[in-house]
Amino acid sequence: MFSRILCGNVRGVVPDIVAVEVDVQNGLPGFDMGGILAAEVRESKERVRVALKNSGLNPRPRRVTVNISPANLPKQGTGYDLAIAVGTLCAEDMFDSASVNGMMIMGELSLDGSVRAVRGILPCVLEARRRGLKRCIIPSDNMPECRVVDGIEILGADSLKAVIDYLSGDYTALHKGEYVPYNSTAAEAKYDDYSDVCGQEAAVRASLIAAAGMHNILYMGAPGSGKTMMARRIAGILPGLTEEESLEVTQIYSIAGLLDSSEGLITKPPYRSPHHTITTVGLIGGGSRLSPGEITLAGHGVLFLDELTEFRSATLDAMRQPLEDGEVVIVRNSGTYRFPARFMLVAAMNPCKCGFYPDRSRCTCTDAQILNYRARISRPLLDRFDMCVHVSPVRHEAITLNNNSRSRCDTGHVRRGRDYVMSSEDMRERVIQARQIQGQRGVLNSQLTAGELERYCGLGSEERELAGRIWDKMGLTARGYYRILRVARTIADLEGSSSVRCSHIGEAVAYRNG
Amino acid sequence: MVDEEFCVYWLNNIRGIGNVKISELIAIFGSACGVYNAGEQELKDAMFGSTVRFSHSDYDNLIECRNAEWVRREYESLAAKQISFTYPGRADYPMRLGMIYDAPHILYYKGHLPDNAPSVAIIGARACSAYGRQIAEMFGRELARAGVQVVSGLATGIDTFGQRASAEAGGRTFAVLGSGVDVCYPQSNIGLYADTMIRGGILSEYPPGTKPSPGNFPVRNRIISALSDVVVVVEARRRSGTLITVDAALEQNKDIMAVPGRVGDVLSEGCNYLLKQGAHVVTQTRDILGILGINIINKKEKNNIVLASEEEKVYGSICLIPKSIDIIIEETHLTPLRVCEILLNLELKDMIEQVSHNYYVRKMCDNGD
Repeated sequence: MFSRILCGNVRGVVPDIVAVEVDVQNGLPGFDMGGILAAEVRESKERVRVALKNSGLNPRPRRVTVNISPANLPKQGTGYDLAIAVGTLCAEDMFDSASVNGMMIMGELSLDGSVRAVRGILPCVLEARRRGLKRCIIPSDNMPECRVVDGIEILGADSLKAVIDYLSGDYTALHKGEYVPYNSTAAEAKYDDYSDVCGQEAAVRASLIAAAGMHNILYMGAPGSGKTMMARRIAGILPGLTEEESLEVTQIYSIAGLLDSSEGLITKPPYRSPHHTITTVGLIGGGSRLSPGEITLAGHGVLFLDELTEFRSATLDAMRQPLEDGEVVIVRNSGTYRFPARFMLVAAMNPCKCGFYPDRSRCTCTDAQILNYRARISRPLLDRFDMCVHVSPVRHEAITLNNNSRSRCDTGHVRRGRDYVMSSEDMRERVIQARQIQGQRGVLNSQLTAGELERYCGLGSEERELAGRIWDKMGLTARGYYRILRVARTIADLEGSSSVRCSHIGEAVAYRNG
Repeated sequence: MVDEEFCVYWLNNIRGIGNVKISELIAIFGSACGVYNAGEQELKDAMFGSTVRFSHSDYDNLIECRNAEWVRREYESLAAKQISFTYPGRADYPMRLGMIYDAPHILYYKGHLPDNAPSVAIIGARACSAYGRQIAEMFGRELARAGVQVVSGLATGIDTFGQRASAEAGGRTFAVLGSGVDVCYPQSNIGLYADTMIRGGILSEYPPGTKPSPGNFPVRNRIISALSDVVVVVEARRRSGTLITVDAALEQNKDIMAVPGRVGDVLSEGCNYLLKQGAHVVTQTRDILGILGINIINKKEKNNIVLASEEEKVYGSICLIPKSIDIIIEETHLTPLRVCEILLNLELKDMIEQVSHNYYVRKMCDNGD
């Protein structure tokens, strides 16, 4: 007796539908499995045997052979348990084998027969829909992430018993998933607010510009000056993810097992801040299990590297290609895997080892030490930061002003002393406006190519003359020049100006890197 | 058979025999040639009968070197390395140097030797501030224009900035090294080293090839001060090598000038201390020229750049101490966009300078203020 159940398999970040084939026949009792299985898949036979027993379904001792096809692809993960259990029962004719047609079944079994959540459900369900399958049975705990998937019936299972009841004709045994249209404000993540920052207007302004154009930004400053504070707030002013971006990010988080089961889709841009001891594989992705790295997990959001100089330089340099291409290509003997990696790189570092340069009354580093310290970051990597801003230590007046005379005025600006301070909310609004302008061009400013810059940053004669003077005075390279233009374009978008003006170039030069 | 020049070279290249012992030997035998041609017994008697304590190994080294092939070989290779030397008694031996009691018995040089024109030592901290840098550059530049020779030690920091500015303004500048004249230390100064060789000279009392060892630097400092009429200290910590040079200069009866700094700035503590001890205050190049007795016609160029009021505000907020863009924004109450634009304009007008990322200082105008 033979049965065939469809199940999902994820390799790298690419989902695939595989078939779990189960054959049950007379002979010496046994349980054999094949199809390049990772340890956790092979261990599945014990879980399945005990779960079946504890669900009150006592299969007779028979000779069971399981093959997961195609047999030449490596399989990993615990999602096969449920399919193997169902396949065994189907082969035993416990229910009509027609009821599993066009159906994908995934889930991990607990020894007591309950179904537990597994990784990578969302990409598999989307793949099943693409392949034209009609329905899928998944663990109930994985239901939230599949809410926005339309066009395929999603059934949530709590236990193996419920699944068998359903397949035997009791259609109320499983929870039916309900389709909820995508709404980017559904879950408001809590971020720290920029109105907490005292003074440091240049750094706040630079953060706004960086967020508006998705420019990579480097904060430099003395210890305790608030670089980290500034960087943490950046994710909070990015606009919410679009449905497409959200699906991409959620799929990756689903595969990485980082999804909060109650949360459903990720609608806010991710914020990742790995510690500087991270390995190259941890940052880029790969390893024997081909798991996504931090740069992939930060997709469409912020990757914050605090204490940039403390990272191993080989690890940092591995980011160069992904930063350029927006994806990381990992080649293994089993194949080539592409992980998306379109993120905004935010980094913070001290200007020298003691951190006080250029305040020479406190910094005792020699010039050679300063150069050595900075040389830890390779030039090509530094070149990928469009912006660099110095965060100066907060002065006491700024802090006292902040605490004593803060009040919110009508426009939503926070008033401090006689100045208005922007809150994250206003900043996000301005970012969204600037993004809309960029949306009309179809490309983010940080990704404008030289040709597109010519088209979208047409300079007037006055601006052209200024650019020429800057070029001569500061010894710019073509790459540096284009970086300034990209940032100037973003500033112009923020100011609602259709053309790039001298003042925009002036500000872009102040935030230039190098 | 042997000329005095070779004998001087030979006498200065014997291991264990330094400046003091050479002085003694020359005093006894009259000249380096005399030492070279002296008989063994004669030498023995002279050395062990002297008040200077010669050891037996000194004597052995001396005898051994006399017949050594390598001394001759190295002596002859000097020309190929474009290294010359002078010694007391020669006409080109710097007159000022001959006047100190422990004048070096040999002075190697690449390029030229300083002449009797007025000369000034610009010295100071290696890790200097932007303020010190600007002042050293101003002095270097303006002294060069007044035809004053600038002497320093080619160290990083003040030394470098003063010398470079002097060389760039077409002046004559001299570097006294604590290593051999063919060893550029620090290596990062190789550009300035080459310029100095063309514009002036690289000098050292140490044989070519000598590695820079820490003990050499305080010793060479006496040459820096000896070669100059005035020693100008731009920035110095309270305990620093700069003050060793000043001590040497005081012994040599030179004028000391110090640039005043703010109380509490560690980099100005040394200067303020010197001022308290009676050093001359120097705030502009004319002060130095005054001590040297040089009168330059004061052709003060009128600063014709007129600034708009907002620019004036930003310019007024920037001083000689590096100030960050955040503070400038805070002080001027202008928008970041506007401040950045003005800063760029001022930078393009050469009125301010970005010393580190987003840190700005005023550029010193020439002629003092």
